Amino acid sequence: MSTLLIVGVMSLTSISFYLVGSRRLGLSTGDLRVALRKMLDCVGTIAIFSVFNLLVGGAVILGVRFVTGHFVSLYLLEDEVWWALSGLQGLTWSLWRQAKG
Amino acid sequence: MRGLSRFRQLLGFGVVVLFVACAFTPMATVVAEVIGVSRQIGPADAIVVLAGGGVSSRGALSDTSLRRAIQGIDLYLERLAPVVVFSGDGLDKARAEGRIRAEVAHRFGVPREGILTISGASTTRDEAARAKSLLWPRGARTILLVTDADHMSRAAPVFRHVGFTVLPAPVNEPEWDLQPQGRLDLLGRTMRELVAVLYYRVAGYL
Repeated sequence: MSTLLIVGVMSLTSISFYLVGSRRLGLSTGDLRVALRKMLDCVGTIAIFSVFNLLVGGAVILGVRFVTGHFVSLYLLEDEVWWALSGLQGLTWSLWRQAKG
Repeated sequence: MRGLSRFRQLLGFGVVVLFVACAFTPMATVVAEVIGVSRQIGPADAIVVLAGGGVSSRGALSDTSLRRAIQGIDLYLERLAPVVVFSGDGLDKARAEGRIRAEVAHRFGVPREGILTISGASTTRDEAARAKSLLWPRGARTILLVTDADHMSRAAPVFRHVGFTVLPAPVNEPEWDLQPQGRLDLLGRTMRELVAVLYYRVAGYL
């Protein structure tokens, strides 16, 4: 039920926004292709930042364990805030690069 | 530079495809079933319930901890072992996870002489070592191991590695009728355990 609702609503709003963009605002389909490519670029960059942040986080935790002998849990990397902040980092980086042209 | 841009786009495409496949198909459950350890319930010398999620500052067990504890209590009440061991630390002795679970078990009808606790273990490997030093002097070699299904794929080999014969009694086994959020959570937990198993293998713990 949940899957059907999500897919149904998302399809409906995507088609609606496409129609508003192409008919009301005069946006071209070619530009939509460019936008999709940029979106995928952003998602790829976010993935890279996420993995990098988790690797650095893991290295810091293992380093603290090794240097101080104090136990710090790797489960700290499970916090979803890592993904959210990595997303913002990756998005900012991607848009910064795109702004350069 | 253009090659890198192409790589990022392909990576982004891969992430989107993986996300959609995971959220809207049973892929996560299939992966969890493939790497999971199947349930093997039978008579044992002890039931070992691993720590999970700890205790809040107000002394409340986490959902994971409570679920595992109830499974351990249930196995004990089915008379599958003469003793149940609860693992887990806390902010202080009064709020130690193992101790609170022991109290819950007693209230559910497990006699105090049938309950043991482990404290001071920070990792699954520590828990296995402490369980061994607690149980081996009592002659307990075969254990019913209670933990979440995803964690079992690492915990069972770790306990076997220290010498126990392990009968896995997983809690929260993968289900087929999950909603998209549940599927993403399941895949996340499964991936975490895959990385953890890899880490344990590289470190020589398995």
